[in-house]
Amino acid sequence: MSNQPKKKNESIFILIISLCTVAVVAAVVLSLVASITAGPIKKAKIETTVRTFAKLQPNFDNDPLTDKAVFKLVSGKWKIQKNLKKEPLAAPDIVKFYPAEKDGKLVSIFAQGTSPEGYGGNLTAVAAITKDGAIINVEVTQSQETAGLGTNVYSREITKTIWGIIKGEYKDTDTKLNPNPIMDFFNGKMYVPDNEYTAKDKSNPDILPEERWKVKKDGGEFKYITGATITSRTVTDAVKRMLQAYYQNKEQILKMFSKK
Amino acid sequence: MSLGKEFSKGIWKENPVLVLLLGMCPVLAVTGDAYNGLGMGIASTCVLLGSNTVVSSCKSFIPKKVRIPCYIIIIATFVTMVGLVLKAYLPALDKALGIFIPLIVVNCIVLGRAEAFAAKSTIANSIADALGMGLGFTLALVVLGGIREFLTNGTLFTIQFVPGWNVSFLLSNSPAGAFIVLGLLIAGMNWLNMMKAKKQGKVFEPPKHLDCRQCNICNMEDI
Repeated sequence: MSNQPKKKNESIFILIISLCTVAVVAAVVLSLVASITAGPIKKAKIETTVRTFAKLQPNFDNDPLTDKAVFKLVSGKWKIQKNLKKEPLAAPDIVKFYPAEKDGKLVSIFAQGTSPEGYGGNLTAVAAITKDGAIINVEVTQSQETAGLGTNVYSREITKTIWGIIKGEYKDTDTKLNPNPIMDFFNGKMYVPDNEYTAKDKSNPDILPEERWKVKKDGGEFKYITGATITSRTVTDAVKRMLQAYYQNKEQILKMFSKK
Repeated sequence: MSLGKEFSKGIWKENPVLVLLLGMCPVLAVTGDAYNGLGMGIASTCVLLGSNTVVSSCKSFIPKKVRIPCYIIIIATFVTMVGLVLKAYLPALDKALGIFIPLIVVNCIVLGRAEAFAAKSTIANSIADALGMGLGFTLALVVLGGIREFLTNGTLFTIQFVPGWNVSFLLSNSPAGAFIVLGLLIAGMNWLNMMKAKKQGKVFEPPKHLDCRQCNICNMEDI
């Protein structure tokens, strides 16, 4: 009987040691794997972004990510952020611009903007815009909207049929943007603030004042899907944020990107 | 039992979804279409393979009283590792599977196999068991996802097989529909087993050693 308590104490000690050993080994293995994969993960993320850029506007030969201009929303105005130590990948008050160059000349600009108003939180869109500030193409890159409902607003997936596959109709669907009426409606649209909207702008249906940058249901110009109004609103808002930031800082951005 | 038998039992005789009824949460939640079923199945198989191997090789070092926390740490480590490796080297696959990877930690197939099989078997048998169970899980999920996807959209792996056939049957896309389809699948499987037993002149009985008692997780008396 005198042996039993001693044995129990010993076993508790062993229990603690073995559980700690397992935890420490797991932590060491995980930190090793994390440090090995940190580089490739960053590289993969950059490659994904460049591939998205190439879908929006394939006519460039530089690495757009080497130069960038980051803007932050400070009391209603987009202000440039320089020497950012730790820059967030995507945040609602951040808009980023990247240059697209061909043979050393600036052809267009890639923009990334985020809206916080999504049904599931932040929604990030990327767009190619002309130097004048007109949308070329838009695509949503990060979102937490309801699959099959909210995602229908910006999904560019197409239904493939078995006959189409046999005929080889879908060869370049992975490198090209498939049509989506809501997203394609943004193409060519430009932004001006309400107080700078002139009579001349009115004759051009593509130039829209800030108050028209809403979905039709809210008295704006843009299309929406019934049942996914919140997502439609969010996509419009994300695109508006990019164009707003571009409009306010157009000269500065063009100067930065054409300096080289 | 031979290695081949350990491998093949997971596919039909002890199928984790249709016979053991393990891991119902991911089974019902992610099988909205065949792609998701395949993704979840492959990701779970990788984790199952890793955890079964490690649990089986460490079984003599781990004290019985703390075995469950140890298994959970091992499984969580493998899940995180699989997630990181996918992100780094297979970003396309990560885009498709990424959301399922964290879900595997709570998939009780992995813990169930570690406890009920790997902790008592040799490494080779555990690997065969993991591969067989993983394959059985994947097959069941693909069949379930395929049926649900076909009923909902008329597509399979997002490919339309009947041109112009535009159905929209939302029940099968909801979790309740998953429950109904899974019930029909299990009924169909039992019916096949019964017909097979009838042919041999026997009466089919569900294997008794495979019910809840085969998993000792909640049996705390013997520790």
